[in-house]
Amino acid sequence: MNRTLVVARKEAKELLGNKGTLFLGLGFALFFPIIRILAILKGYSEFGVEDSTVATSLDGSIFFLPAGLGLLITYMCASQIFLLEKRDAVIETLMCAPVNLRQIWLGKVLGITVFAYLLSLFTALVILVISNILSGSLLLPTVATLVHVLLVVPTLIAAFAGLVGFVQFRLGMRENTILTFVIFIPFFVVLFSIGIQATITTSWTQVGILFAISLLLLAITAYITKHLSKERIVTTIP
Amino acid sequence: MIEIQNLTKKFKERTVLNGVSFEVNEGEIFGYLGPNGAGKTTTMRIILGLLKPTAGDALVWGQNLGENEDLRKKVGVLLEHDGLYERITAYENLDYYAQLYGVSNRVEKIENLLEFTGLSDRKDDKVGQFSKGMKRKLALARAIIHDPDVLFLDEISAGLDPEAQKMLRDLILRLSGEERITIFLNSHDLDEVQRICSKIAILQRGEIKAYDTVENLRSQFTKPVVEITLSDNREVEKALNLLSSLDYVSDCKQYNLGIAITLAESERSSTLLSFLMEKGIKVEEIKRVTKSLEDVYLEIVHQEERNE
Repeated sequence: MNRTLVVARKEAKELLGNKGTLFLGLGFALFFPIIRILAILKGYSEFGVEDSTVATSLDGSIFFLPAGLGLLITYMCASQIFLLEKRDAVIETLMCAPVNLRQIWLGKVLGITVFAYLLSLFTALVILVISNILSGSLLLPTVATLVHVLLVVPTLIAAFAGLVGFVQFRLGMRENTILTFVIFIPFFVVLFSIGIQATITTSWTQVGILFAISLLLLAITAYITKHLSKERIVTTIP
Repeated sequence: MIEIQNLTKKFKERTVLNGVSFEVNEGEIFGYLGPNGAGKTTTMRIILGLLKPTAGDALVWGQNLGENEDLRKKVGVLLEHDGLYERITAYENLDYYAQLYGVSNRVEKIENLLEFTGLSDRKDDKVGQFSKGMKRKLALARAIIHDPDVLFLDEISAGLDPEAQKMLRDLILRLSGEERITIFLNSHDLDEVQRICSKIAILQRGEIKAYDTVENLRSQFTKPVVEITLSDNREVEKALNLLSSLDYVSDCKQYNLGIAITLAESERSSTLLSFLMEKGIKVEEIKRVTKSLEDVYLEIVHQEERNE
């Protein structure tokens, strides 16, 4: 089997077998959709709106939550897969195996993407099921939203996993901790504060722009990993 | 097999290795000794291709390991950290590396290694539950899963109890004896090195201070010592005076019921015995004292300090 896939399979399997990460991910995948759907349905029941408006809100939820949660879970997983492996110096042994650094990086990114994307899909399913149960009528997402979930979300997750992994490999432990508090935690707080409340209307333009951004991010990350060196990783092991 | 030529490594302005050169031949167990911070791990990391040298070469079979993935298939590694994944089982850890190294008969190989290291009954347990000694043994199994021709071991017995240390030493000797694996052993455990290594290099502050077989270094760096026990204890004082006057005796001092004599030349121990008999001193027992590697090591380190 291709060595990148060997790494990817091991990482995905390890994440799926880690009860802590799995339950936390499933918890997020249930908690955020329930909160959002309840808020939407409560508002509509008070003011009285048509099914089409409920469907639009459902669409917006499926547009935002699987992607947002996918990124959050990706970050959590990257910290385990990239950062912990570096902190425990496990990466040093792996780099002595007949596998190059880009294969290691790509394998880890694929492993994280599979895990985070499965939870994203689960989130979308939860939103769909709860919306249909609570509204009492058949509500389906638009084609644009479906394309977004099936194409854009995994690309976005992969790009984000690649970028976070690159940063975590490249920087020392202290710099990574600083980055978590200065960049990543504020990013997720702002993302979810706005996203949970916002009324999002999905359009093909939005889907296209987000897809283009994801691809660009993926390309940039793939390019900059050429500058990742074993020496840099070894010398930043604590 | 391993050629280190004038190896120098600087981190910014700090020189960690300075013109290090040595060779390790096929089938040898090579001990790379030195105090903490001497540059042993840096040397190993350069050989393994994890660090780039500032100057010089570190070659294995004439090539750079860092640039040759196929060559790395012939090399096994057990670094100071075990490099094990604690959240997966012992079996899964071995299986992962077996796949990365392209081992063909994985299942059979893994089962044999688990048997070899005595971990068969714990193969489905997560490594996080293992003791330090068990982790070390599993890491050794992982290092040899692909039948390497050369094995790099860094501080293998650090933090292990004496029983686990002995078990690992025996495993290494078995690998060297039965599989003819060349072993490069980084260590500051002199006893361990003395027991298993055929050749050693002593590194201090980034420079090689000694490089030879253990026996040669012993004779090169320590003066021969013989201990004699006299038949009559009242003659000790007289014997001490006589021995002190000899030009081939560097030092002599009384200990318990005998005299410890440091000779300038090793072949003079028989002359010494004849001399004492000629002078009418009866010797009950004479024995040659073998110096340990620790004595050699301390001699080298102290010599360096005296030179400074």
